[in-house]
Amino acid sequence: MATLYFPTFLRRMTEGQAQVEVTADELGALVAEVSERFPDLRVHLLDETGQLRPYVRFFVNGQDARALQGLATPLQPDDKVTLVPAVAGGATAKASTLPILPGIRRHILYGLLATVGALLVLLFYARISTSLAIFWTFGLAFGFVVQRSRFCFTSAFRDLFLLQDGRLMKGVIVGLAIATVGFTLIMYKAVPDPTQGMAGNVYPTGWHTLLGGLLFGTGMVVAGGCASGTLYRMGEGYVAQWVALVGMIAGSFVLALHWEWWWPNVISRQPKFWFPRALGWGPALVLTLIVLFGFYLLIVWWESRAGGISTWEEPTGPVRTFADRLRVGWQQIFVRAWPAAAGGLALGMLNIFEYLYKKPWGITTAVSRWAGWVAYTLGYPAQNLLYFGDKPAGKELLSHIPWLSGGTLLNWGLIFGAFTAALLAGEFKLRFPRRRYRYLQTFSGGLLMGYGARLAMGCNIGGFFSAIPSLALNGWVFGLGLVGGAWIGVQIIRRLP
Amino acid sequence: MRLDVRGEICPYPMLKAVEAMKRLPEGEVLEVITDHAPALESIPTQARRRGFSVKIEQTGNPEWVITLTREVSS
Repeated sequence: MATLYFPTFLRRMTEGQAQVEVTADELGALVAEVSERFPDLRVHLLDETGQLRPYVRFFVNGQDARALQGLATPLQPDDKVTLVPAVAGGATAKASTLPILPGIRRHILYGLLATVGALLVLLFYARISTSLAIFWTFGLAFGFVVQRSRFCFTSAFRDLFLLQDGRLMKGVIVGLAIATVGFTLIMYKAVPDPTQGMAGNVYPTGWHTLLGGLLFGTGMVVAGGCASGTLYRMGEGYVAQWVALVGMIAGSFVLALHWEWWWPNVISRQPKFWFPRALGWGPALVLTLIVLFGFYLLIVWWESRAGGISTWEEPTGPVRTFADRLRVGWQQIFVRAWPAAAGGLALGMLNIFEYLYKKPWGITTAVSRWAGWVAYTLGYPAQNLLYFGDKPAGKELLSHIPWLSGGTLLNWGLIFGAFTAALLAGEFKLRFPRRRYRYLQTFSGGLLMGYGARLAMGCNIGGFFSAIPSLALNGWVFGLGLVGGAWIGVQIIRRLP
Repeated sequence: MRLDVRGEICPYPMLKAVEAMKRLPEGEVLEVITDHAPALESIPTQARRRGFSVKIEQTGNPEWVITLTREVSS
């Protein structure tokens, strides 16, 4: 019987045994035999389809089996077989071995192909309209950043309650703070005397803003992603999130139908409240920053009460040569998750750039236009609805056909940017939830999000992430609604196994 | 104990891992198999607060095995 030796770190899966005798007379049979014997080991050796994982190596009497006959290598009774998973060889081995593994390299190739695809789309739009090309580029950048920093607003709000973890919320606050400074400068240029006009995302503010926030906050937790989160998860291959987007489109259409009531009876009667007008530029800016800092401290206190925050650092190995530094740099940007604060900073900056170019970042206005377009295409006279009435009927609504509006390109750019980033990181996978009712769950969440966002006239991006930096009260009221809605959502998902 | 949360949407991978940590019998090791990258960010915090040590191994693209071991308290 041949003997198989296990590396130390696998021994807890082999009931502590360092070596076992096997009856197999061929390497392939050996793999089957030990997988059978130690089910815990199986996941390390074989993938879902039962194929040997590419980084698992066997050495027969010190010779790499791949240099012999692979899995068909015959085994003699006194042969010594050693199992060496490349990922297991400690920090140094991992860092230096990973990039040359075939299974891990393929996704980088796909990622590069996706990058080329994104550039081709860019070239195509650049020939039609510079503005559309620029929005596509902004979308790609937003998508790349949210995917890399796993920047999920849902989790930022939800995990305050669910896990008492404020890691992402601190990132959100960093993004709000940097954008507040940038937006204030831009708005000051546009409206030096704030009593003479308004700039930024200033909306009528009232109980509908709070209700919209509550609905949106509940919906995003139930759906497992806010407006930006749904889009980037779509790009990562979460199929349930595609259903959430359908829900969002449907929800914003229902709101468009109800707009005939909401607008004359409630929304149009509410005041717009803009801090620069009430307080002047300087106090509005300073006060916003102080309140943001206060919330930051509050979150740090809240986390500390629960025992603080821990991260798991992947060992890098020694970094000496230029090639080492390039490799580590690649890993830090394209493979490992960015810190939440870095994501917040990058998103805040991008938001400032987009405002400099045209208007602050937003997502759901375009989504509601898709709803109108779908209804119009199906024969429903959506152009007669008051909600779509700010654009003259018929032709103008059609000008919002998905491939010819900036907002659409921004959103699809976000999906595609996240898709590309996920491929490069090896994080793309079509994921189908095992429980069927998850689809109903994400659809319902999307429905609430679509309705809530358009009721408050902005989602977690336009109504919050771009509204607080606009020094507008509606951003804070919507944020308060998000907190309450996230709490309600947490109660719901705790009851849905 | 082994917990397979592949395919699940956010936040169920984290939620189920936390539930499993609570239920884990003395002396057992919990292995969470996931394809949800954000879990790698939030599970370590939850684990350490509950007295578990964390080890993460990448076993696929994208797939990770998070090994949670209860630290001896005495």
